[in-house]
Amino acid sequence: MTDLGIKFSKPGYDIKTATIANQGFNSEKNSIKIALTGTVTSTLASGGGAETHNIDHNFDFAPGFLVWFEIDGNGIWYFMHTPGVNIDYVNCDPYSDTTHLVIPLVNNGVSQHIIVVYYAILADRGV
Amino acid sequence: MTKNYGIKISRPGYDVFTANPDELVFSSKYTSLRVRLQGSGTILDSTGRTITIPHNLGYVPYFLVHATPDPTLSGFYDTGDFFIPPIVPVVAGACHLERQIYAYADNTNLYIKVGADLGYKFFSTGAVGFSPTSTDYARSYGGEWEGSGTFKIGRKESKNYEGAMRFINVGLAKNQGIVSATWIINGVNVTGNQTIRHRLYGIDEDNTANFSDNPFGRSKTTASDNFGYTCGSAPATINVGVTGIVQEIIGRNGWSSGNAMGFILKAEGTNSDNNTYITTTSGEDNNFYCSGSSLRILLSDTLASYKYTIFYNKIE
Repeated sequence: MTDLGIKFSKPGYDIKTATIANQGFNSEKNSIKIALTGTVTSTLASGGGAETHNIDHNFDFAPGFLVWFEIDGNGIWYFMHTPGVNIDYVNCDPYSDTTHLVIPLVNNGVSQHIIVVYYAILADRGV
Repeated sequence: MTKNYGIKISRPGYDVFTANPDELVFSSKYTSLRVRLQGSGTILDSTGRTITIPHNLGYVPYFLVHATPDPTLSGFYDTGDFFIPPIVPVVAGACHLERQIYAYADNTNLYIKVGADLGYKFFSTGAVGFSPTSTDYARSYGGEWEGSGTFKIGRKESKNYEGAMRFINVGLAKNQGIVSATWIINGVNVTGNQTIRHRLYGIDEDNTANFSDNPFGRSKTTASDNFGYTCGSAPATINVGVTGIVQEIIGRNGWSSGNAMGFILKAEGTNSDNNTYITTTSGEDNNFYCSGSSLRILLSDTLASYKYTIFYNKIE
């Protein structure tokens, strides 16, 4: 197979000499590709209310993913899982397997919460 | 009719016609992460525990943050390493402390925040349980002893009470640099509404012994400060700055890490020079009881380092 490839440099850099850090794209290096995005919503009672979302990804491997979540529609989005006491003990600890992105949500706080989770499933292996 | 055109580029060694999605480095079928802004910095106690980074996108973007954990913790954490927040350390016996680092975004800014307790070392009196009394750590005297090992300051039944508190196993090296030291006194009961005024000293000893004898006659530090607390309807937590006093004690020739140190609130001077208890009504009770206490030390103004990437991709 012929070893062909493509690379683009960032503005201001000569593509013939630019280091990988100054390249916008290089076909020798994988780039993260987002295959699927969406949101799921749960209304969780206080004191342990829980719900788990399973999202089909249709890959035959466990893909990487990115997850952010918002509580009670306040317009603030946290990455992945909870910082604990600052948002009333809501836990969001997602993981993937060969069929699903799994998003378990638990509300160990003292108030009911509406949790919106935004997910981006990657077309790249998680490991 | 929309044509199904596109571009695919496979990884080296893979045929682009048969490559699986994870064997492609690019496919126009998939969205790419596009970087809007990257940066790094440090979070200082002196300039605030929240970093605000404007992104000017008008919507909530994807973001990633990496940060170093609490510099006062050791073991699992290596302070030279960068973790993805939230970083929520598990500290035995201190689960109530806010030592986490976390990040969040809205449609205006990315925020990187450290908890209120991150960066602090805490030392205790060794007391266990609610409102304990022990001459190991506390005494109060106002012409007569107030209980056995009770900490009380102020005026009761026409007597002015002084208080002393002792902290054990203080893990500060001799002459160790500190940014600040705070003696935190947790109130359990308060009487009256006037101001208690005392003079604050440290006990000028290498490893001050328990208070089974009279601690008020022990040598006092040169460093001292005015102390004032206005009584009220509810007991409160009093934060007393003791930075200079702690520096003087740990600067003693005989000081070593793990020793005990103590503080004294003396009712000295007169009612007119702010150095003693003041009341306008003779015999009126104005006093403050303590249920527990801790000594909080900030070792470094630098709390955490962080690196961030904000993407054009939109959370929607």
